[in-house]
Amino acid sequence: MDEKKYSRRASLLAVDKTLVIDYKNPQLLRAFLTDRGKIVPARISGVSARQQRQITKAIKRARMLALVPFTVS
Amino acid sequence: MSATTGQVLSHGALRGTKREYETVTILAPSTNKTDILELVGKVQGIFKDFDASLLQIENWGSRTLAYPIRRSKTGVYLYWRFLGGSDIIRELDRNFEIATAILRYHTVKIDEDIDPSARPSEVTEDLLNAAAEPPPEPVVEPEPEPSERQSSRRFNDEDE
Repeated sequence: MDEKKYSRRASLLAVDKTLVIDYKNPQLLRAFLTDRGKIVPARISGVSARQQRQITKAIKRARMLALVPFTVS
Repeated sequence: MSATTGQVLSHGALRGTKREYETVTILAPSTNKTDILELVGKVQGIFKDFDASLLQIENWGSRTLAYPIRRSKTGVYLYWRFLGGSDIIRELDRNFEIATAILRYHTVKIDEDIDPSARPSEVTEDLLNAAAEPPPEPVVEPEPEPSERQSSRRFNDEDE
């Protein structure tokens, strides 16, 4: 059983406290997307539950505006 | 008040408060300065009818879209921030849906119960003209290259 497939890493948001999660900032949001455009679980990105909720909302809004992709094939 | 005088269409209007909204519109890449000025004029007219006020307008320039919208791979982003009642959103949606130059729009409520006098408008004639032109250094989103991002290998999806 390999339970730990991924290693939990220090959250980007914990390192730089000035970062604000905003759907208008695709550069930041891309840090929370996989290569294929999926949203990275909080378990892996290391963000708090509240931050994860803000991130998912922001990513979904940014996707609507074609700032970040829905999928990358 | 709106054209439908006597009928309160927004709840905030009863209390004399407004909501703060922001809208991002994506315009077709072929849109030129006069088109944008025309659109801004039209929206300003709607704002006037609904007693709303434009607080800020910004042109983000032409950006590469993450996926094509109506076969366009690029779009001109226009950002608006305004105060208004909930009734204006419906009217804006209706107009944006009709406007052929608008590929996509998205409105987000950022604050509510605002005293309109507490938020003065920053919009001037110069700002409106500046919004019609892309910023001096257009922010072009780089194509998402997998190699560009570090630590991407950790987040690799398993499914194809």
